[in-house]
Formats: sequence, structure tokens, C-alpha cells
Amino acid sequence: MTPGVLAALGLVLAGAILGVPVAGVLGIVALTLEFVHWIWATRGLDGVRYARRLAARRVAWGEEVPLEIDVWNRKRLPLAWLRADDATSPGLIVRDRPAVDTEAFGPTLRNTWTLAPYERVVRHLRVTAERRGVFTLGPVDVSVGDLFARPAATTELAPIDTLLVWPRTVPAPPMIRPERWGDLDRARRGLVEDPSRFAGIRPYSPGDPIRRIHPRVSERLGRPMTKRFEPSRERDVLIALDLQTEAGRTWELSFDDAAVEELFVVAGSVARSLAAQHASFGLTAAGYSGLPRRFADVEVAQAAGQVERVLDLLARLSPTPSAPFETLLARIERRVSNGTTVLVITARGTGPFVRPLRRLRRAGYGVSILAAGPDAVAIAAAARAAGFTARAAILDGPWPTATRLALA
Amino acid sequence: MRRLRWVPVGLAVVAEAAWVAVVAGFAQELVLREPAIGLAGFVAAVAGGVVAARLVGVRLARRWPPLALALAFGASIVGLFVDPAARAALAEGGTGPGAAIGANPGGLLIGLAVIRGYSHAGVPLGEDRLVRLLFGGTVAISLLGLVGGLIAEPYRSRFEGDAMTATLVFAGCAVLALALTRLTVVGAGSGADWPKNPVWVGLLVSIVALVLLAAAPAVGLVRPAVEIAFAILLGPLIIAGLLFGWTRGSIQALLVVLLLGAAAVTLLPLLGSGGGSGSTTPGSGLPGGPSTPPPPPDPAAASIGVILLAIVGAIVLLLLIRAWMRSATIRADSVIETRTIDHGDEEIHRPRRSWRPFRAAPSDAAAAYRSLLADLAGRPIVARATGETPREHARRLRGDGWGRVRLELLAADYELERFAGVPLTPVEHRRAIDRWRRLRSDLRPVVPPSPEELRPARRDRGPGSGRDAEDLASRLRARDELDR
Repeated sequence: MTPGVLAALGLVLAGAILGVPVAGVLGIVALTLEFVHWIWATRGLDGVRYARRLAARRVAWGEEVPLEIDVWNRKRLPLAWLRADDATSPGLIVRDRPAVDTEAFGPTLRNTWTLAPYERVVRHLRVTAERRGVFTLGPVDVSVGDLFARPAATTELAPIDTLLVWPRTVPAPPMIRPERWGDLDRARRGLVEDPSRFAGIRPYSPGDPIRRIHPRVSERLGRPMTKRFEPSRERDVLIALDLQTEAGRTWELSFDDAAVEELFVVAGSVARSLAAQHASFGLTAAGYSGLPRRFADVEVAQAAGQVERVLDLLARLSPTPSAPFETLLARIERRVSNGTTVLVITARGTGPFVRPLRRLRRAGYGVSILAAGPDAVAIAAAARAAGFTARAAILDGPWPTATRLALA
Repeated sequence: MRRLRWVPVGLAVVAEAAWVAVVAGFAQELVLREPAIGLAGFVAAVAGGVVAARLVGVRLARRWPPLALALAFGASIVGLFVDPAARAALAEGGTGPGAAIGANPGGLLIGLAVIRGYSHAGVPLGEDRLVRLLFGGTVAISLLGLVGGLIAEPYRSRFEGDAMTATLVFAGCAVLALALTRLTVVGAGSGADWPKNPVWVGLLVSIVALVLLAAAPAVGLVRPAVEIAFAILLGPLIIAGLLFGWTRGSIQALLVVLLLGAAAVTLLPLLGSGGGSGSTTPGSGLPGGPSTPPPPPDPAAASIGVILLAIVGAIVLLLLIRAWMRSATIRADSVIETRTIDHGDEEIHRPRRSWRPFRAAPSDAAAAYRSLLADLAGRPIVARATGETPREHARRLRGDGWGRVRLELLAADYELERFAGVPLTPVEHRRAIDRWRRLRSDLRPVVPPSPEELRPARRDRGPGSGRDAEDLASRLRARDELDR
């Protein structure tokens, strides 16, 4: 028995025993309030359906996703109010509906409806995010009010919606040499071959370039033979993203937020540029991505949806490194075929990882460095001085507002 | 829509006026005089306070509290001299304003009503203020009702009558104002406000009205009910305790009953005789009071005390008026939403066994199909399963030998009309209703079917697939249920 019921009963009894009719009337009114409250407390949540629908699960940074919230009171009792408190990840923005801080969830999307019997309301909102990342909406705390609009019953529903916000991408110049066997020209060879990777000989076919004829073998065999080469891996690019933005130990968790986000913008833009050039590309980074692993990888491929896979991973990656970049470079040899171009995107000097890069180059990998951040030009110059192909990736403004990526 | 937001304010104004009217009536009863100002007068005073605070207070800002106090003081003076007796007492001279106050003390409370009006100038109203109004008003009215019952007749009856009316008005208006305001506050910024839910408002008003209509007569029944309950409960409780042993709960129940009984036995005789004789005459003082009047207070000390009280009261009022002017604000709402009344599909309405022997025939094909489903719902084999489309249901029944082709036709009519939005012709509707009429009698397994008879159309089929075994198991379960 609640204090309210006790007080109401006391008032009724006092009114009756002491002969104060007005107290009795007020007690009966209070008792009615409590009785009605009890009905709504036990039945208020019956037949209530709450559903949340995100129009898309992935979105590029800066875009908005329509969000529909559907509530349905499937019973004969009207609800003075129904409130749904959706837990939201920090950084998730619901347009026209600022988040409120609640004790249970922290940042919370709060919606309230008043519902007649069997009334169904679909509310249309738009969701975006402050930055790239994985954002969740839910669980939800649903509470209802009684006939007198007092809080009556509450429950927590588990469903959680996830929104993956890709990093911002901007137009970027071509990163690799354009393919030579496209367009309407007649193909002179079946594959793009790497002349430095001799693979054997075959009989001459009409149309083979004269310079491909192997003179000594042709003379020995008495018929023209043509040299054969391994397919070129020049168009296989592995983006190696260096998440460490400040000099020092890897495990020191300090990082430059703007520099990290700029790195992601550059990496995403480069991935889009490679996809536009029909190149095979992948991504590797020493960062946490929601899996119990220190390294995050997208294998080198040219399949459809490759850029989306890379952007997904970029969205999930932590802003801090999980392992030294040198360790990441060392494992490339075990995971990727030689001949692949390793495109290192970094915002710090290449000094700590020059040695692994040289080893990669000796092993037959192409190594190219793309420097980002405020010191990009200086970093690129230092890398060139160390003997690597290096360019500076310069955005034409801060990462949230940049419109183009230039290479210098 | 914007005008409706003043409804809770109006209700709060009436509720404030009601409890102030009870206080004023009590003050008049104490001096054994009839009330000079009715409930309407106090409503006007509270409304005047609201209007003054809204029109003048907002503009004057910091200069408003002193003016508000002066206005309240002026209203008290006006209220005081509304009564001709107070004016006559002042004209006679003698003790000065004291005589006028003695003639119409309730009139002074017009000033209190105006001050209370200041607190409801903001829209929406403050929920906490209304809670305090409901709680404080309830306590004040109850206490005044208790003390007011000690005064001599006929003033006591007049007071109790007026107080009962004012209490009903107070309870109804305060509860309604609080509920509407709560919804406005809870739904602030989310588009949830009470004008959007007329069904809820209707139910709220109906229940409050019913309770208020029933409360006054019910009060008279509570006292005999308590006495009867006491008489009935005491004996059985003791006997049950003796028979089944004393538990903590039974001891508590017995103690409660005994306490209530003791209170009733001791208090009722006292209160029953108090003021009930009606032998006292107006102006003769309280019955049973001291035979010698108390010594008169020192006039100088009394004046100083009154002045000090007035100063403290004025300071408190100034602070209160200033605090009340900080009204709550609610952000404009810009939510896009779609509202529909959706009775859903059959999963909401559980098939209910109709107690009426004759039901009206459905009027169209969709209604015929739904009516058939309602008929089939209680039958284990032919009922439509959850998640089964009309077409799947009809095909299953036909495949099992229980369906007829007309069920598929009826289902097709239903799907065409409800899902495809194709209007049917009157002839098609008529045919659908005919199908319903036949199917509801055809699809009625009179005898619980045996496993061999479950599929008359497929009896010659050999040992079937897993699905068949599954079906058979479900049919066996259905038969067992029927047997039970």
C-alpha cells in the first residue's frame, strides 16, 4: 500500500470519524486518484508497441538519415503521455531534438506522445553525427502516464540500432597510373604485365611486340619465341594508415583529434579515388575496430563494394593506435603478395618506420608515402630525402569543411 | 489552439478561489456572520491577480512586487467594505478599522486571492505550484472543516454547506488543472499536448465529474460502513487468530481495527455533542467555552506584534511575487508526425465468443472474410494460423481436405479489396457473403476427427515427408485438446 493510498484512506476515515464531510470528499477524490493510477500502472503498458526505423545503416559524414519512430497504443485505455527515452551514443545528433542527459543513459533522445485508444503515431526525424564512427540508438526506456498524467509504469526495451558514419570524403586526384588496356583500343596483351618479373617463354603469335621476342631462345629453337611476364601488381594498392599522430610511445593515448580526423578524410578520399580508377585496393591499420584484434584489415580486392568495406572499417577504427606502425608494416610481408604498392598515409615523420619501409621495398613492394596534417609538406620532403616516393596530401580547409584534396 | 492553453489557468484560478472562499467562510463563521462575498467574487479576484501580473507585472519587471503588494492591499480594502455592515461599522467610529474588520473579516481575503492570482500568470502553469495548491488546499480545507464544525448553529451548517460546494469545485478544478498542466509540461517540445487527445480529456473530465458527483453522498455512507466493518471484523479476526495462530499480519490487522474502534468510541461521542445542540445563539460565543472571558491583550503590544507580522508578511509576499514572475517557457515544437487510429489486424482483437445468438450478417466481402475468421478461430484445425496469409490458409485447408474452393475465392476477394485496393462490385460482395454463410457451416468439424480421417482427400497418400508427419502431430494434439 503506497503512502498516497494510506493518506487517502486516512482522510476518508478521519472525515467519517471526526464528522468532517469535506475531508471525506477530498479523501474519496484522493482515493480515486490512487485507484486510477493503479489501473494505469498495471495496464498502461499493455499493447504498447514501440518501433524505431533508420532509413540507412551507413551514411557518409555530413549526411542525414531519416529516422521513423512508431508508437502504437493497441488497447482501449488512452494514454495521457507515453515517453520514450532512447539512449544515444555521444556525438549522435537528432535534428530539431536536442539530447537530454538522463541518469540511466546519459545522452538521451526523448520523445513524448499523447495517445488515444488504438492511436498510432509515426514521428519523422533526421539523424546525423558529429564525426565518423559507430553510433547506437537504444536501448529505450518507455514510460506511460496515468489518467491524471502522473508517471504510472515504465519498461526497458532492448533493441539497438546501429548507424555507421563513414569518414568525410572529398574529390582527390588519381593516385596511380591509369590503366592502359581500357577504352576502345584493341588490346595488345591479355593482361597488364610487369616486364621486371620474367615468367617464361611461349611461341610467337602475330601481333606480339617485336621487342618481346626472345632472340637467343628463338635462335636455339629455330622458331620465334616470345617472352612472358607475370601480371603487373602496380595497380594493387594497400593503404597503410598510421593512426599515431604525435611523436612518442604508441601506448600513450594522447592524440591530435583534428589530425586524426584529417587522416581519415584523406584515407577515405584516396579509397574513393582508387575505386574510381578501378584499382584493386585494401586497407590495413593498427587500430581497434570493435573486434578483439589489434589490427584491422580489408584485403586487397577490386570487387564491387570494396570502397564501402574500406569506409566501413575507417568508420569503426579507433582514433588511437593499438600497436606500433612498424609492427603493422612488418606483417604486410606475410599477408600481401609482393609487387603490391603500399601507400602509407601518415601525419608524422617517417623516421621511426624508415627501416621497415626499406625492407618492404627490398622485398618487391612498391612504397609510396602520402603525408597529411599541418606538416605534410615537410614530412613528404623528408621522406623523399630518405629515398621514397612521397607526396603531401593537402585539404583546402579544415576537415569538416574541406572540398578538395590536392597532392603536392 | 493557442486559446486552449488558458484552460488550465482558468481551472487553477477557480481552484484557488475555492479554497480561499473556504478560508473566508471560516473567518466569517468565527465572528458569527454570514459570508459577504461568494465564490464568484473570489474567482474574480484571483483572475484579476492573473491579469494584473500578466499585463502589468511583465512590463514593470523589478518594480512590480511593491505595486503588486499595493494592489493586493487595495483589493483587501475593497473586499472589506463590500459588506454594508463593515461600512456601517466604520461610519459609527469607535474602534476604527477594527470594527469594520470584525464585521467582515472574510472580505480581507480578497487580497489573498489577488496574490494567489499572481502565481498563475505564466503559461504553462508550474506543475509544482499546482501540486502545492492541491496538497495545501486539501490540508487547509480539512483543518478548517474540522475546526469549523465546532462553531454554533446556524453558522456551522451554512459554513459546511458552502465549504462542501467549494471543496467539490476545488477538487475538480485542481485535479483537472494539474493533469492538463502535467501533460503540457511532460510533452513540452515533443508535440504532446492535451488538445491532441480529446479522448483522454473526455475520459478525464468524465471520471472527475463522476467522482465528485458520487463523493458527497458517499461520505455519509463511510461512517456507518466503518462501524459495521469494525463490528464484523473484530470477532472473526480474533477467532481466526485463535484457530490458525497469530501471525504478524493478523496481529497488525487486529491492532488497526482496535485502534480505529478506539478512535471511533472516544471521538464520536465528543464530536457528536459538540455544536450539535443548537442551543447557542448568535453572538453568545462557543459552546462549552470558559465561563470567564480571557483578559484583554495589551493594545500597545498587540499593535507592535501586528506591525511586525505585517512587515514580515510583506517581505515574504514580495519575494513570492518576484519568484512567481519567473514563468516556465516551452520551446516551440517543430515535429513532423503522422497520427492515425489503427485498430490493427486480428492479432489485436482476440476472438471473443459472442454471447448473442444471432449476429448481423456482414455487409461486404472483407467483413465476410473477417467474420468467417472469427467463427473459425475457436476451431483447432480450420482456424487460420498466426503468420498465415489468407491464400495460404485457404490452400492449406483445401489441401487437407477441410477447405472448399469457395474459401479460396473469399480469400481472394478479401485480398483484392484490402491489399490490392481493387473495389469489388455489388454482385461480388453478395457472392462473398453467400460464401461466408456456407463456409461457416461447412467448416465445422462436429466430431473430433481421428488421425485416419484427418485428410479425406489425401488418404491414399503414402508415408509422406517431414511436413506430413508434422501436420499429423499437430492434428493429434488438436484431437487431444478436443477430447479434453
